[in-house]
Amino acid sequence: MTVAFPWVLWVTGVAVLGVIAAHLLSVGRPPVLVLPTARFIPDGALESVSRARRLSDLWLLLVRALALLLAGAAFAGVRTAPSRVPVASVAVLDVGNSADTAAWRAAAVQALDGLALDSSQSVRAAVLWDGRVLRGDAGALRAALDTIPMLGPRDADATPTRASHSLAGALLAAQRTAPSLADMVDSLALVVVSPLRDDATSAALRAVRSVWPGRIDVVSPPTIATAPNSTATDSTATLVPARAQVMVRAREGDAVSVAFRQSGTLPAAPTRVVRALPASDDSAFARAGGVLVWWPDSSASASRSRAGEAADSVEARADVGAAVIANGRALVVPLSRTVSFAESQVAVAWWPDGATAVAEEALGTGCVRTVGFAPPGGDVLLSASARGLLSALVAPCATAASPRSSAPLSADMVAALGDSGPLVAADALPSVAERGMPPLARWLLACAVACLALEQWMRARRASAPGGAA
Amino acid sequence: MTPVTPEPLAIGPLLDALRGVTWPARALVRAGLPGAHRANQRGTSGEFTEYRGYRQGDDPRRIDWRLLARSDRAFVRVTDERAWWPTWLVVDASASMSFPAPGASWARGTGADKWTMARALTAGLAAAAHATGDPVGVIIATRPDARRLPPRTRRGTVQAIARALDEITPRGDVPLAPLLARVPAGARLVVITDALTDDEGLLSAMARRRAAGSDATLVQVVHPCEVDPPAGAWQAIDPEAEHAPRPLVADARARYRDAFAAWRASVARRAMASGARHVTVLCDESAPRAVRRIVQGVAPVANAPSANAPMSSDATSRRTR
Repeated sequence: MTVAFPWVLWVTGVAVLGVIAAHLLSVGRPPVLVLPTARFIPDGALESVSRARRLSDLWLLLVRALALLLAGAAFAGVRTAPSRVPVASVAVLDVGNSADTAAWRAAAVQALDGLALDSSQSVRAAVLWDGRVLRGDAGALRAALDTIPMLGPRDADATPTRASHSLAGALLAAQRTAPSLADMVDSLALVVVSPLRDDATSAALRAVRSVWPGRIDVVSPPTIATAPNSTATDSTATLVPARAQVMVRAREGDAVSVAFRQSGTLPAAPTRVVRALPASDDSAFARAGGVLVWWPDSSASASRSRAGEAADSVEARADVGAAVIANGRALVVPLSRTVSFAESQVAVAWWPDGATAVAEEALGTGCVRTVGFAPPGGDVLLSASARGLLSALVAPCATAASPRSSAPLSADMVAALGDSGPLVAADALPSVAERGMPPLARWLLACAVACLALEQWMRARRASAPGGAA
Repeated sequence: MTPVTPEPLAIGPLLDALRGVTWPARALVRAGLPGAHRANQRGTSGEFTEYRGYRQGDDPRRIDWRLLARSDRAFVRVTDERAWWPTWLVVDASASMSFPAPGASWARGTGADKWTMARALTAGLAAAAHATGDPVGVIIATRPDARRLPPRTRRGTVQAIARALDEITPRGDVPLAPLLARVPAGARLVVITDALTDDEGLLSAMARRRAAGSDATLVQVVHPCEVDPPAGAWQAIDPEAEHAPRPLVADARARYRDAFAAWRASVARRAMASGARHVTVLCDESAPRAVRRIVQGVAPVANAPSANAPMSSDATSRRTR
């Protein structure tokens, strides 16, 4: 049992002593004297205070003292201390690695089991590299990991982004999680379960590592065979031309085709603009690292084409917008909106009201950009104000992840990361202030209120009794 | 608060102590039936007083013939008239007279209670008047109706008065002023009371009786515990007044004594201003002694009224004696 504010208990003790002292004082009316000459006595208060040798109203004193003690204990923040273990581990599991296959999952679970078998340690929390935190002992964590699809077989097209694959971020999440375990353990061990490849590092890694005051144990599972989708990536790489250029697939005389051709914009990455429904080779082009710009003619074609993909995030619509803003330039012209995008999608161009006009979606190492309005008529796209839109459409993908490096982390970085040293004492971690009143304090306070109510009842009963004093 | 019936008065020892005590009038009384007091009329009794020259209309049988023969002048013998003097005793039987309550431990050794003293005084004064040959009547002011015993001179009158008083239990508050109007003019009126009930009305009524020719005496019965209440803190309740209880504590005690002494002095002063006599009787005084003092018109040794607290000094001196 711990007390947050011991001085409150001292104050409570003094208050109880005061109550006991008050019960040694007898406040009441003196005995009655029938005195015919009482009229000559000056009027005044009848109550008199006198000291008694014995405590009066023992039950009332007991209830009052109990109420004070309960309230004092509640306000002092008395709480039952949880059972503490000598050492607990916070495991940082690399679930965003390219090796996120069943084999990697089995390896991670095996690493957890290995930690749990050490009698001096029991895993209390696991931080996944995407920021999720799992709590519990090793068995509970393993059961929780079984239910996480992240570690299961993944869609071959799903490629983890760089943002979700940062060891520095995971370490930060672990350091934020550790103080919450400080009440349950004496020392904390931080264990990183990861193959530690180059792609996991970032510029902030050393700074984040220096914040953790103890050592970090690095557990590298056995090498996992490279995922087969890397071969597919190599095969589709031939679909992307080596030179960055804009290739427009449209009918002859199409305004979009003419605009790209006339603008002379040089893209940073191979770009393909399609006006009709994208074909499978278009998707392969994008997955291989190209930029696929799909600019449908009307809302009907857009809805028809997107119905099977992301109906919840894309909604076909047909109204008129006044302008489109891209690359800091506005194309002011009546435009017919054909698609409404979800707010979560990455925007490339915007309507004046802030809605997304052109959205980008990652696909493989490339991306697909969907234009949400029909091409304006006439030679508007040939104007200077349209160049901002055209240059935004052929810009490099913002959402695609660059191919990972499968090279292991450098030795000095591993040494800096692991760093020998003592475990982190729980007292050295910043305390986590518990919000609100702990449950035990609430119960104590409720009991104190009940005692006060009982005290009021006893006083009222005593006052109503014959000869009772107030 | 339930009134407690007092113990019967021991009349025998009291009468023994007052044997031979008479109560002569200090002035000429109104002429009436023959009695022991000198009347304000000259009469034909056998007790010679003086000679007076014969005037037309005098009874020739009262002429002293021998003196006429020696002096050749006619004189008649003048004698004093003797008359009786009806005595009325008005006794206050209000609740305030029942103090201290029987059995009060703090009142031990402080003398009789006020009602017992009042009964003893009444019986003793009745015995003294009866021994003088005067008719004695009593009016007992009690609830619900005052009890009246008409003046009698026959034997057993004092015992009858004592028995009537024994049957009374003091209760309530009874104003005495209306009762004094029943007393005939010229009679001797003695009011035995603590004067705590309507003292203004009582003194006014006594002044009226005094103006009507009665000899009025106010015997104020005071208990020592009223002068000096028992020690400690008390919640004082007036049995006759309606006011709330008052705290009798240390700092209020001195102010109480001063106020009570001042009031008693005021009562004595007003009584004497109206021509009545005022006698204070403390309950720790023996009843025969108090009766003798009243009958003989002797003030206590230390009863000389002073300018500041004339009537409080007697109580204090007697208690220290």
